[in-house]
Amino acid sequence: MTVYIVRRLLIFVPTLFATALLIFLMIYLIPGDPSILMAGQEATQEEIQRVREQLGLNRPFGVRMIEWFWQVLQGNLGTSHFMAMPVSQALAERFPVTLGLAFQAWCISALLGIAAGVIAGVRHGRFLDWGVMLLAVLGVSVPVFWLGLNMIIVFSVTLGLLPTGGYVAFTDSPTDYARYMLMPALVLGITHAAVVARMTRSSMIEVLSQDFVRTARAKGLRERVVILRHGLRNAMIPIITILGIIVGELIAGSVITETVFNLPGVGRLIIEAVKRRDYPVIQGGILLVTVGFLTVNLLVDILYAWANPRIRYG
Amino acid sequence: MARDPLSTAMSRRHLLRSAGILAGASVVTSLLAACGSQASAPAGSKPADSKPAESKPAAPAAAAPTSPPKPVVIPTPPPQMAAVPTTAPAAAPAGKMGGIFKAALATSPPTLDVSTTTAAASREATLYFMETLITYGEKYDIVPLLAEKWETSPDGKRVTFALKQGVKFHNGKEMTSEDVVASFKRHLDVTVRKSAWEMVEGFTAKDKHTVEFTLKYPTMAFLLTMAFPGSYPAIFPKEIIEGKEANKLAVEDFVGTGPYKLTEWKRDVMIRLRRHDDYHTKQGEPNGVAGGKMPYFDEIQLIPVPEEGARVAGLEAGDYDFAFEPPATDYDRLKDRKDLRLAIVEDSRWFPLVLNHSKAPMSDLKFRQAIQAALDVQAIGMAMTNGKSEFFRVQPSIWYPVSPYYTEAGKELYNQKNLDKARTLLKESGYNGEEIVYITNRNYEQMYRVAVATQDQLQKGLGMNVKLEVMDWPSQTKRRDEQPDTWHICSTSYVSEGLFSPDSYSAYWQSGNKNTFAKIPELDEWFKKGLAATSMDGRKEAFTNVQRIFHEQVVSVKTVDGHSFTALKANIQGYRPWYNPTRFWGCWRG
Repeated sequence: MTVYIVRRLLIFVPTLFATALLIFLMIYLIPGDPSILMAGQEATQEEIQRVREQLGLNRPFGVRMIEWFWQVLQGNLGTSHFMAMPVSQALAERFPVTLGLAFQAWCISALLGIAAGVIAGVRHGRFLDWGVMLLAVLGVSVPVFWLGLNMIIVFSVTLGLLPTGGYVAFTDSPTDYARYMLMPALVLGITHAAVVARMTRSSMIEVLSQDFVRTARAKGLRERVVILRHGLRNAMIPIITILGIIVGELIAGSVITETVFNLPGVGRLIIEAVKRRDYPVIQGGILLVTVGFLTVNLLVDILYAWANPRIRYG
Repeated sequence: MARDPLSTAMSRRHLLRSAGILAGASVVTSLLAACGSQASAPAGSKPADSKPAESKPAAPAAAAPTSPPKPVVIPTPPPQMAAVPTTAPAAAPAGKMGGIFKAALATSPPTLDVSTTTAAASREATLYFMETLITYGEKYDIVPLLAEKWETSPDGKRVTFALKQGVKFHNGKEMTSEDVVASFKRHLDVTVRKSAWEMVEGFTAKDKHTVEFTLKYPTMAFLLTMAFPGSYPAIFPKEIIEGKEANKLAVEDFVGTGPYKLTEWKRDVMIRLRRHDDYHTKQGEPNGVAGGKMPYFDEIQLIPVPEEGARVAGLEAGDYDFAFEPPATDYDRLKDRKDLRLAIVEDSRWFPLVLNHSKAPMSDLKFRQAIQAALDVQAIGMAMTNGKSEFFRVQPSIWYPVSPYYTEAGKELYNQKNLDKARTLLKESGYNGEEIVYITNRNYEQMYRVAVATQDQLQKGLGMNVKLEVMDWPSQTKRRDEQPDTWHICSTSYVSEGLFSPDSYSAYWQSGNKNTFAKIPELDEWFKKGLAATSMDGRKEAFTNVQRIFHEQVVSVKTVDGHSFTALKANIQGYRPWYNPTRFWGCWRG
């Protein structure tokens, strides 16, 4: 087991390094640089050039790359061109927002998805199954921003129940935090619940057709016990896998939700940084998301190996 | 995946896995909790040190011993500002003190250190707390702000500013000439508009309330640069600003003299401004960036909401009091709402086709004239605004009618819609179906729409082979500046140039520029004369000729002036639409 974990950790490092290198190269392939936006729309060439010099962007590409890698190795992600603050500080301010959103959306998608999947699986081939699966297909297909804007129109503009956007930290006011996070978490959760529901359904159908389920029914167990204790329990393994994958997706994929609901999370920070070509922030932000994604994957793998010796020794 | 059918064996493994997931979830939770405790400043309401909304009616009038501002140097009164639906009554109203005002803006300022940028978003945010010696008035004339008056020596090479006395910084310190000198020193070090200050030889503090500038040569352009709101010379206390590098100012360093003080800047979340109780000029009519600036609200929150749909929804739901530039398609719907008030802000921008003179066939005057002759500007405007004629204006000047420089010179060459003439010119130019590359972007949707409409007209009307290449704004700017051999027409919009800074056009049109790459000696001459002029008449003559040559030589092609609209809660009183900043001082909740 220890050998397995060490081996996985050793792969972790070069993966991260390769990702960092890719990020750096890709960003510099995008034309335009922060000085253009920083100087303003009416800026002349001279003005842009001055900003470029102030930001040190007139230095050669190679020099900047080595400098950045050296900094990162020392644990320093650099300073944002636009925000005049360390990138690590900017990320630390935003990460709780994204994590909170991801966690709540994850809970919603797990609860909704499993419930819907079980119902559809049990009613396999019947009207209810069709109904649930139609909703699931809709859930997977509907764009997050469309769902988000429509929920804003219904719940905020028409009914006036929830704020249209913005953020209050949990530590300032837990009730306000909940009010501001409810819609974004629902939107993000619903779209991912659809994936969970489909996985749960097919897994349930497979399990419910097994002999031991027939045996359970034959010995006169109540249907509820058969479905939940014998059926769902045995159907959980692929569901757990998908729930693990979703954690990473939720952290990395909350960009659009954050934009629609004006949440100051990491996703929006990166998007704004891309628009402004704020290189240190893009690099630091994507690096953070990558570390998050890889860590979740690593944890899932380790859990798996722990539970299943065939993987550990394989 | 292989699965053991025996449920007893399964339950152990299953238990392990469930435990794993639970552990994963708790890691997330604890991380969340740990990070949550780090997040310090809340974005929610924080009453800070506000005094309750005590009514302090506009009484302490003569707090600052200010004599009425001296009349402006510009001799001819510019034409009346175009009629806009304004909510402000003509007489100085007695408003109500107190309350929090929330404005949803489109963008977050790139920096608050305005010396280092000309971005409109920075100017919009900072003009609440930072001020300059002189500035622009309602009709884009030059008016005093922190200076009480100024005098130019007979030879025009010395300009002396008498400072207003008793002006208090936000930290309670009185502003003196020392602060002005230190602020200018730093500004000239870090400004992105360094060349605009090229005429300045030096400046000194004559006494506690007098600052004298010496110029290398007499020019009107000095005062115009001084008042220009892009990368403007904000006045800070000496001890704060001395030796500060570009973009190295912390929130607490923004100690200014404006009607509000900056108390918090959470980037991309909010700029929080608190009333400055000792503001120096609370009484009188607002006049551009100057005049009476009564801070009625206890607090103003400037909230960047980039998604325009979310901006409007927030306004409708009551989360914001003001929404900057909602989508034009929402105009009709919002117009009918009793709880909202809409205002059209004219003179916001105009849209040129930037023509690349360095690349054939655009280098040929006849070819450029063909494009100029063919365009139907009205149709471009309709395409740009989804058919809403309230949102654009068709007029030939490269200055707006409100600007002191407005002229009709060369108007016969504008909006000709003459396809026969255009076809003849095109034939004479020898154009033979070469691909014409038009670069544009979707960061600024209106630029894109102008480009699409223009492409359509040139293709259908003249059979020109126009290819649209869409990218984002930084990419487009980079390509325009650094790869002039890859494009023929480029999108942009001109903003303040059309109001009060005609000299700025020289950066795009004068020989040696890297924008249109035009080389027209006669145009260079007139730019030089304009810059050297010492009277407004001299400047006007020069810039009338600039516009004539602009049209005659088809330096670029002018299309429409675009207006924008803003929406605010109907109970907000005292709001007057103006170009920039939006000015929430003098506004109160009725």
